Amino acid sequence: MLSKSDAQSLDREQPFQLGTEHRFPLDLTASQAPIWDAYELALRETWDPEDDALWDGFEPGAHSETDRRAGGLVWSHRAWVDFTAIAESEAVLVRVCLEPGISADMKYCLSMRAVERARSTDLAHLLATRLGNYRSSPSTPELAALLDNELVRRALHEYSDIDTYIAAHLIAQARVDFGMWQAAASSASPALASLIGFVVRDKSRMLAVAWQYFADVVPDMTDVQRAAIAEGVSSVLSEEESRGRQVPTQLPEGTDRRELLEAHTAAASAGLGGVLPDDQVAVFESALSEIRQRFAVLGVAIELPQTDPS
Amino acid sequence: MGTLVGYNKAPIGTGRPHGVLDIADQHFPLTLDEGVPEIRDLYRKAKRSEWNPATDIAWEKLDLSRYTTEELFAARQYWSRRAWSEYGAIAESPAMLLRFTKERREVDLSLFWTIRTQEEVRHADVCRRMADALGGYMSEPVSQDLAGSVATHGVRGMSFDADTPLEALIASLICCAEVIAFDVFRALIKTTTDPVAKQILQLIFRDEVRHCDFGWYYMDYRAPHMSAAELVVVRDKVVWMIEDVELKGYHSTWLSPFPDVSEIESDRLVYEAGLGATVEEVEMPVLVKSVAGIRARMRSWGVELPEFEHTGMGRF
Repeated sequence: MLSKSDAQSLDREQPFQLGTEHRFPLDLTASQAPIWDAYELALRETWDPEDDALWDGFEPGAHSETDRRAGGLVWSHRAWVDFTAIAESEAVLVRVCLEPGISADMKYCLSMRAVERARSTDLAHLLATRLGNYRSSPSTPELAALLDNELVRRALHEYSDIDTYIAAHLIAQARVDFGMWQAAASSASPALASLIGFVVRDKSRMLAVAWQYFADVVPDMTDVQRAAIAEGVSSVLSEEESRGRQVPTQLPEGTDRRELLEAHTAAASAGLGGVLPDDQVAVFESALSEIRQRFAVLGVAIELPQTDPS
Repeated sequence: MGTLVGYNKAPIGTGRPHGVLDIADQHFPLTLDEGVPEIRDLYRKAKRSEWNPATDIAWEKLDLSRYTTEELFAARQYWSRRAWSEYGAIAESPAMLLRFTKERREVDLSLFWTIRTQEEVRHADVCRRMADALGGYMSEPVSQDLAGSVATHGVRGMSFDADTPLEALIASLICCAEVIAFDVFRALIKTTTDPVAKQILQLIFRDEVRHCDFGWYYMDYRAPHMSAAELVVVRDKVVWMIEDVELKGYHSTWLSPFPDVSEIESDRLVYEAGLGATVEEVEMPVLVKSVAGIRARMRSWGVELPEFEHTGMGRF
């Protein structure tokens, strides 16, 4: 079930409500050292998926056609997921600029997140293409619907609470995403693991920024606000992530689940970045556990979904 | 009508100010291959041209002893104002990327725009650092009147307005407003003598070249597919941008019907000290030449701009 703020933001019967900006005073200095440091680190830690030197040792021709096709599908799926986060990042950036009191360093980091998601999309697409099998769509409308999930409206709508959005998407959803990339790196060949490592580094940095942001704002929240945030996080985990938006073992029975699990199994064995089904379950459970524990420390009690889709 | 196949446009004339956001997500099929090669190349160039405001500026060369207290105060104001202006692009122009995505435009646009927004962050950051180095960044205008004048011309609102076609937005905001700003910027670099100020302006300029090229490349790509009626909408938006935004002093207060005299005087101090800023006698011929260049280039799309008139500039 959608959280209340998501339901309002998706109601197309009512005109879309965008907030009103009050630009001045405009503080452009560091407000939180860890967030500012992350911004400066992001300025230094740039990389380019199209840099040929980074692909040294990656040889698609060394793999069978079956494995290449499997790897191509795995990376197509990652490209679909990461592509949605490009517009999401820019939507959150627009939104936080409409909100009073959100620091410049958080905004700067969000601009970096959009670039980083463009890079990870680019990398995933390049991998799928070089493996000869970029697929432009999921096989089933169910997975397409999970990825056409209106992140822009949900982030931007004035009635949608931005702290809930950040907790649910830039933390919870991003933590699942991070886990899948990290697992992909651990099963990949050294050359591929090195490429994936750039994305893992970017995602790790931005996830830390989101946690830091949340830790900074949560002390001033009422119990009602914390409960609303818990509802928003739980809703995204149960309605989207538990249904397999990012983790194929969570998908319901059907073509996408079968194809993606087969592809991940083959690609993992071939060192092409797949994540074995058991490892996917472990990634998801580990992500949920960490999300619950860290939010609990901050006084937000997350109700976790069942991890077994059956 | 022109070729709109493949784009996912919101209905127009609905009276809903943010109609673009009513377009339902429809990412698939997701084509990530090059759609507009010239823009993909700009994205590639941008990836290779990233710079760091903290480490790529020779801050140690800033010698405050060369300047008077009045010059330094004026320069602090100028560089703070520049930071506010760059911030406007951070706060508003990401809305353009949301439009590209909602309308299922060529993916090159979104990829490039991510770096474009990040470049605006670098620009705001470096301008704030410069203001700090000169004695202190100012977080708001001295007067409320000035707060109004540094407000933007509504990029965010127009980006979400289905009644404003994307092509009209790009032509007016980028091929017109940004190009004029760019041409003035080129003159600004020539007249700035302080080595740190000049280096900052040169690095920003390098990024702005791509920002302007983006607009021209996309419009060169789109214009042949647009109908005469669609091009009239583009023309009208560009005329609005020149007459009601530029010539009303959006970028240069001396053009305003009610110029801010203190800002003009302050900018002259900064200009004469070689710390940045331009003045009317520098900008006026640049503006005339810039509009002439825009007029000539838009003619190739089938857009004919009229002559413009300004009380201080005459007809041009």
